[in-house]
Amino acid sequence: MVFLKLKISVKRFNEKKRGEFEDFQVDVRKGATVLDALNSIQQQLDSSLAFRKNCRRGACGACAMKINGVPKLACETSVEKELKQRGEISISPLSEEKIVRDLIIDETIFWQKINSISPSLECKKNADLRVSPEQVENISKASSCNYCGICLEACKVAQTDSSYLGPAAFTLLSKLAGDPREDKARERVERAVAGGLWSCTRAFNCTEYCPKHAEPAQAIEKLRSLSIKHGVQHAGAVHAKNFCESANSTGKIDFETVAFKTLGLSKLKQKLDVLLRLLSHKKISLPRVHGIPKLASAKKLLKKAFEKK
Amino acid sequence: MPHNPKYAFFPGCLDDNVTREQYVATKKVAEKIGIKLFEFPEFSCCGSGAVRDANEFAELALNARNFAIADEKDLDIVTTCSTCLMTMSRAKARLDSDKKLKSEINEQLAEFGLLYSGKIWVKHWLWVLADEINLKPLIEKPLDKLRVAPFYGCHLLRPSKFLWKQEPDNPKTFEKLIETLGAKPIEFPEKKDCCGFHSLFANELNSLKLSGKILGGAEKRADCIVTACPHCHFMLDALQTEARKASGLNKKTLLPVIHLSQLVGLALGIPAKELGLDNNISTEKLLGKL
Repeated sequence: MVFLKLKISVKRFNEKKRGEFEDFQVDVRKGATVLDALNSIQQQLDSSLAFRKNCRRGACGACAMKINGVPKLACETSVEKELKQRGEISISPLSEEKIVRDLIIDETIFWQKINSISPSLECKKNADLRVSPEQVENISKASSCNYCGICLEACKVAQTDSSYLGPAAFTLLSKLAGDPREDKARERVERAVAGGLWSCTRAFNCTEYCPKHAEPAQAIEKLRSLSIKHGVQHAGAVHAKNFCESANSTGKIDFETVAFKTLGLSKLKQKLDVLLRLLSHKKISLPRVHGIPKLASAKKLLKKAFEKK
Repeated sequence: MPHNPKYAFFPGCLDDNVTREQYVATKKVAEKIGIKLFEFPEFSCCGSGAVRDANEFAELALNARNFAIADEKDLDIVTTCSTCLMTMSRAKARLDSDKKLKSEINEQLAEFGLLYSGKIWVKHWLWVLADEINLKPLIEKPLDKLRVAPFYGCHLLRPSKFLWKQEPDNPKTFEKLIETLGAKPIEFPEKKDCCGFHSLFANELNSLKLSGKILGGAEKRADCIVTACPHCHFMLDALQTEARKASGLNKKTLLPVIHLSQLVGLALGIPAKELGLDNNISTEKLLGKL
């Protein structure tokens, strides 16, 4: 039964149109999703409209696209809710730089990144393969990734650094490194560090827009903690350690001291122009000690946290 | 929304040094509009996510202690740092949803006469200025010649599920405030991008490229960028020369980048010097426009 007559704008990339919106009028039933509306367009109005689809229930990740500018799965987006929130529905591809046709993008880079980490579990030999509920819980969020590619397209670091592995690959590495059956946990962490683990800027676009709530940014944080635990060397790990030392010794972050310790004298010497600029605008002063009042309570809490297993 | 013009002020660690001018300007603005910002020198660093990288519980404990200090005085926390906002909001969500953890940390806090009850909220200074105060009658010098690019960055918006005010996709709070000040908010696609600060020590070049992208987007139409976080300000202002170089932008003309409190202070008629504008790297072009 027809629920409403919907106007939907779709950004087209084909032989005739290069990025122009085309409006369609379609009848949709109550409870229809954006994918239902796109299917109606394809079946009733324009069979040349190209988009990916498969499971229709959020499991496969094929129908990832931008709906009113926000990356989402079309099969999990209600037409009614979208209209209520935004008053219109406009659809565009996840990335306009990787267009194949209409809403279909080239996923080669995404899959190259996933395949580059040997994405299957490498099981310990002759080990007890039972996994406790607590161990499952630890990796359950990371396990919910459906490889839709939204996180990679939303990630600003991946857009400026092509060598960066990206949120989905890190999420998978976090799952593998945290799986008690995995034989190469340390190697997984080393692969993450080599793939730019410490280049993540904590922008949280991946976590905000992940339709399966796999929390890629939190997976990256877990990998960072593991990398420190395993002693995998990187400037990022050194910085985190110096940051903690400053919090512990003064209660606050003494920017100058942390920067001095992380960069070291030789690197700072190469940045004399920056240092002079910061000094002349009173943005830095000589490293100084400034402990907060009641520092003992903060120190004790930190000590207990680091003793906690 | 409850109106509460009293807050526990959490300026964040960067305002102790590299963005001291933001602290100065915020205090001036608060005084002028009658918001009481109570200071607690015993507040520690929020952890900024970097402490969490080493140990999640350490960051939670530091924040529980800060919350308990504000809790004792029955004050919500307001911060001028988006990273502190997100870190604190995330810690609060975790403590409030995990009774076992909360009680474990409260046992430790009890030794120092502190208790985290969960009743306090964490807000950003922008939300207070835009949503809780009627600034319009207080404007002495409307900024009517100024085209301002509002830079939201990341932690003011994301992860939205932890934040008091949730507008991850189509934020409008900054624009609303800029219009109240008499200026014109400029729409630019990079307004929700990342400045790159949090990987500056790990991948400097990429961090600078991220900042350069924002500068390149904003300078097409704006006279200045306004920031809501000292981390973003440091990248876009103090390291602007390097960001321009990394992104292939013109290196000679710097785009003025000012703090939220400095912009509001100018409209309130507070002299530029009292707002610490001397400490910003390039404000000549901006001050000439006013």
